[in-house]
Amino acid sequence: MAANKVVLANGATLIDLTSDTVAAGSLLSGATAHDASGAAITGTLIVNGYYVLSSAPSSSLGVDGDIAIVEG
Amino acid sequence: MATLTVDLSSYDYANSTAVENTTRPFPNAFAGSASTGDYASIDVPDGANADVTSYYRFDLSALPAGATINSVVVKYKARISSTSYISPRTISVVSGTTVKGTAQTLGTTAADDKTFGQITGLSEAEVRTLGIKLYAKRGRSVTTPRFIMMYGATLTIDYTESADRYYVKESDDWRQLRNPTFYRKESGFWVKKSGSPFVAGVNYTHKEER
Repeated sequence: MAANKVVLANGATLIDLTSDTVAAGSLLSGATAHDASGAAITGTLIVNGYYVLSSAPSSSLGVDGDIAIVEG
Repeated sequence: MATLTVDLSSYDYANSTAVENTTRPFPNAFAGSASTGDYASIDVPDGANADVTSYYRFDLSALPAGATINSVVVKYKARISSTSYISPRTISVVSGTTVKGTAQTLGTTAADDKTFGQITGLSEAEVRTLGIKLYAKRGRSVTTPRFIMMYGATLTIDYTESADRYYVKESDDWRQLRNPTFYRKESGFWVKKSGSPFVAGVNYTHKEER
């Protein structure tokens, strides 16, 4: 069972996730965390880059999924 | 279909042979229309067969990238101080330095908004370098001052915007990309794509080339 808040017997709060805003969609793909409910989540956010260039991209530029826009 | 009307915005020093007249400098022709009162003076050099060439350019920065050009119309106001012993004495529309349409002969009177008529068959690239060429040549050796008076010109472009337009935001302003070609990197290789290469559900962040 997921837990999102732990309060000690003396009333002190040991951990509190209830106000966290992390969500699978805002977490990089493959990264893991716990959301505000305490549930374990795995990130789904995919971020690639785009370049604006004046000539064709060189082979060493960028990573898979990146976009190059060449202005003619 | 849309239209865009622009004025002369620059003098093409690189391709011209004229020496600027300080009393009537070249920018006087930028006054804003083909029917203005002030003018730039372009002196014809002294000497047998001496000639002068001047190019003015229009500001085409407002023409959308990828536009299909349907036609252009150029209006102008210009004249020459005297036609005596000056031939040819012409004004023409040019793309770069190539004459488009038919050159007209300059007279000693300047009517407002004279036109070259409609010019068709121009590409977007040709339109982007459109300008006005002025040319005058003396006959036998004379030193009597002769000069062209260039009051102004306007270019009206009838065009159709490209269906596909792409913009990038730079320094808080959106800039339309000019004739973009797209590539996507796949398995380590850049692959040219037709149309937009962006994938739905993927976020893209701007990267600088290093």
